[in-house]
Amino acid sequence: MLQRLIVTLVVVVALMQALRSLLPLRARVAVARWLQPRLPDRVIVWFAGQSACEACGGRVKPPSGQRTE
Amino acid sequence: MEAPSTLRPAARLTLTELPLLGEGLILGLSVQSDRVSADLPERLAELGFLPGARVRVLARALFGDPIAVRLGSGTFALRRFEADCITVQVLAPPVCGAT
Amino acid sequence: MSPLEPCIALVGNPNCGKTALFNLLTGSRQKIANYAGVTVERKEGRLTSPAGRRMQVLDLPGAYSLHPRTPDEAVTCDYILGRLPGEVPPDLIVAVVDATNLSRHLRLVVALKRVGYPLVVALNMSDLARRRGVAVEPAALAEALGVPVVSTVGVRRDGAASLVEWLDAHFSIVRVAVERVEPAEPDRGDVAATANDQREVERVLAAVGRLDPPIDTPSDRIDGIVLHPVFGPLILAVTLFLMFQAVFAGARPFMEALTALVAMVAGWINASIAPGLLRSLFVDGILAGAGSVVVFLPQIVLLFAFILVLEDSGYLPRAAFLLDRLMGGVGLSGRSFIPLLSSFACAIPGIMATRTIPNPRDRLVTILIAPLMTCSARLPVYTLLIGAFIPNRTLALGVGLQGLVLFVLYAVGLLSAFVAAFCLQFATGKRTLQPLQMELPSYHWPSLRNLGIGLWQRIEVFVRRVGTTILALMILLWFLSSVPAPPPGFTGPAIEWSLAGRLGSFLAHVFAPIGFNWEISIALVPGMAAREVAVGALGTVYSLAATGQDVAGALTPIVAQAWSLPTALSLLAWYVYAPQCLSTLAVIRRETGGWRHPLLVAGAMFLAAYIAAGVTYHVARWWLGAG
Repeated sequence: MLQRLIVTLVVVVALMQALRSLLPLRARVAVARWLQPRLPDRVIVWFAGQSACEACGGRVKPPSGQRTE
Repeated sequence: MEAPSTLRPAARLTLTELPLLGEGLILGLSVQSDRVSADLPERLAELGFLPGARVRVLARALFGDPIAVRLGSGTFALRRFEADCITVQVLAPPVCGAT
Repeated sequence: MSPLEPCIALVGNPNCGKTALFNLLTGSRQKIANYAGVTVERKEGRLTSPAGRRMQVLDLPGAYSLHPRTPDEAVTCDYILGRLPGEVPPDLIVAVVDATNLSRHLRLVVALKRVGYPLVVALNMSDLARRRGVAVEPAALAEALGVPVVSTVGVRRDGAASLVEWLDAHFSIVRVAVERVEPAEPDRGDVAATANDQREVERVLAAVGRLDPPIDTPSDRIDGIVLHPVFGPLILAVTLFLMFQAVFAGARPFMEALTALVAMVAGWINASIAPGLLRSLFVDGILAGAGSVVVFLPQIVLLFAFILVLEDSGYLPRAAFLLDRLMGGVGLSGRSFIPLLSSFACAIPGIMATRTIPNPRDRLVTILIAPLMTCSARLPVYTLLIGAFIPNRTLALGVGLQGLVLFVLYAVGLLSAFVAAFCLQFATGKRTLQPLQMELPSYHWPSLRNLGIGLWQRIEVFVRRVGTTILALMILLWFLSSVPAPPPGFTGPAIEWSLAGRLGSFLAHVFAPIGFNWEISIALVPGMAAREVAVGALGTVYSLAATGQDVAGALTPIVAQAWSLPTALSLLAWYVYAPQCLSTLAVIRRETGGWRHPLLVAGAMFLAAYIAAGVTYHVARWWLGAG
């Protein structure tokens, strides 16, 4: 059971890492927006990148490099 | 900038025709062919190929194209048609080693 | 950028050492090398002076004049002339000049003075000028020129000290207090205007009593041999050939040590974790996957060491000189050579470097053929297959057969690029004669520090790539190859029942005509992300498929046993063309400003890869069958 849990966790992290390194910035920001209510802020910063998140005054809000709202 | 007066009158050549290691004095820049873009002389001038500058052919690649030209303390590689745009006066016969 | 932080911009002719100075000022590690056009983008950094003042430093691409002719020069000119909307112009321009070549470099200073910004001249390479006996006194030059002058040495650790001191003492402008400088009319750029500026430079140089540089510098003597019509090409061929021999032979002991290390870790995990999902994840997914890529680090380091030495010594533009005739024959300018050679490391910097090409048509063709150059990510695939299928024999004169095959693969890539360029010149319409106008810099010994930094950066990039992208992809592949678990009573390896296995057998229908089995077909899918991932994917797939066999770190013998020679040759041919690198396609999109060209490249390369692999496969089968 524990093994399954660890393996699932590793696979999920790997999936996020793969998306993080392969998706272009805009797509990554879109995914980060969707993930934001579900995951801690630090994970979002890691995923979307510091610079994309900094655009809204240091607060970890959906990376708004595009300034849609 | 003007050519030293001690020069004996010498043949006008294009830079392409200047013998290997021979030294020349640039007389002018002009476009020779309609396949060449018109701003070529301007670009050459910006690199320093200006009337009055001394040049020296350092090397020619196989079949004589491109050529390596020493200008001041810089060296430039030029294709044949570029060197054709530069008219020179022969200053010194080819020499080997330092003068 | 804080509004109170003043901004200084480094401007100068190409290859005068702006970036070296920028690195000194800001502690950055931007790439520097001994040829014109290394920097093609604006780079920003911060400097904190000993007095505690902070300023923004900008490194700009080199320009011969303020009249841009190439995309990289345009970056500099647009910025200085204030043509970019919303861009804050610099508070001070540091005009970097090569002290050994003042008569050309000062002309840009004269032009910059006319624009009207506060200006300070950095007499760079002043040590070299002194050694050659052509040094001028900064104070005298300052007086004749009418702007402050400091001397700097970009390659020495304290070489920028006098510039920083000057900034501390004299540069007290705070941005809010500065009247916006309205740049004057841009230069006309015609011959007469340039000649005018040159007269001004000659006046300045006459005033400081400049000595004419000696005519026969050591560089000229080297050029006499290196650019020789017969010896030159010979030296070039031998250099490149030795490079590939060394990459293959020199890296072997290190690669064997790494392989043994990976196998040891696998053995240790096998001994300490009970069989099950977790152990399979570690051994089949991580070690057999990412581990098979790590072992190629020594080869990549060695290849980069060669490239860096060639770049730093000043030989690279000479190689371009020697090959210019060949490039001209297929309608390319000699300017295309350096971007293409950079693509041997990676197509991405190569495509960026095309910004130094003045003609847009030429630039486009170079971008389109750059992915055909054998980038370092193909090296693992080539090495794996060569190591498995080409006997390690020594031909005459100590030339190894394996190194020779590697050389041939690189040559095929280069040749294909030329053929593609030749075909493209008909598609892109009327051509005028393309100028070369390439500066051949003075030779100098490669700096060990520079080499060390360059290599370390490559190692970092490689290890980070393996540790993030490749590792993540391998874990995902392992997962897809492990679920769903086969029903009881299923006799084959579990992977055949899994999602990846089914995808593989489906793809195998497409790839069977060119000799690929289902394992290769699976590996090609994650290999889309980056070429070397395919090697890791093969490691994972074979590790899962070959039950009871220890694959980690020992992919070569397994591949040698499982594939026929035609299949291996076919895969090699595939990888000469394979467009499998998403980042390259993304850069092509950015540089060409649309999806048309990247899609064209991807489509054409897939087609070429499929045809080349198919032809290779069938010819090899027929040959082996007949012989």
